[in-house]
Amino acid sequence: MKILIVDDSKAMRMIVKRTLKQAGFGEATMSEATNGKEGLEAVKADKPDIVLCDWNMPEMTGIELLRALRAEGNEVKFGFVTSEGTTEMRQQAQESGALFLISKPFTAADFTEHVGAAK
Amino acid sequence: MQFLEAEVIELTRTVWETVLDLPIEPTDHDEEFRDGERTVSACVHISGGWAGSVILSCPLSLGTKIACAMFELETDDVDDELLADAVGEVVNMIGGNVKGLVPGPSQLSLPTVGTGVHTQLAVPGSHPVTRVGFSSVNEAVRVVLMKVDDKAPADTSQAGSEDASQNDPATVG
Repeated sequence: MKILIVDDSKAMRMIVKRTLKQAGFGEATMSEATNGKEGLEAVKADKPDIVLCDWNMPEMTGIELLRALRAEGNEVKFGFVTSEGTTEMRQQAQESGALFLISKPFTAADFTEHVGAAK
Repeated sequence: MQFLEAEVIELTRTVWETVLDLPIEPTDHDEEFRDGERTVSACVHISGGWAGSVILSCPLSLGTKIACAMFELETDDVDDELLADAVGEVVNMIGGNVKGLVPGPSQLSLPTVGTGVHTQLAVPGSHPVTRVGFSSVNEAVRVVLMKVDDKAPADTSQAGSEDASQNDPATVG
């Protein structure tokens, strides 16, 4: 399984990778991007099975990345991992084609439930 | 009880225990930093249906422990960039959750992080509505919610100014 992690925070990318391992995804190949723009290029280059993406980032936000992917016809599985989880954002995420939105702080069980279901 | 005080305590405790695996307890007073102590402050702004800021401050030594916990590094391996990233992410998590508790729709800014001696972040046109002191590994932590004054412009997208007399330049996390 190939997982692309998109987050402008190096600390959060590291925590997401650590938590994925705790959740049983230690065998997955994990790659990283630091904003939506890099994420867009990384999706095309790496062809991940799933994208785990922050919402609020410089250059290009997570929702802009998701919309750009869908506009290009790319249907890669996509989930948000973000500190913000308002009802409006969850609705926007769902309408744009995201499978889930995990709120920070999260636990390994959150990843087991959502990423596991997306496999 | 101050505005969202119980929620701020719970959110801060959850971030500390879940992400950092460090103990933290609220104190019954606003924690004061020691004279001459180097501190780190991080801030995110909320704009929209509710406009204000969330500011977290702690001694630099605790900020370094936060970065050590996040990056699984030794103290000597934590540089300014990692420190700003780690403390900025902590305030981002608290601020993101606060955003979900106040009237929306609203936007959350990227975090701003500054270090200095006894750093005091100020957000012009805002006033504090909640100040909560904590103690973590025998060091002081302060979380402050600032609310934009009713007659002030609602746009808080500009970073807060600092009492910069003794401070290093702010870094963006």
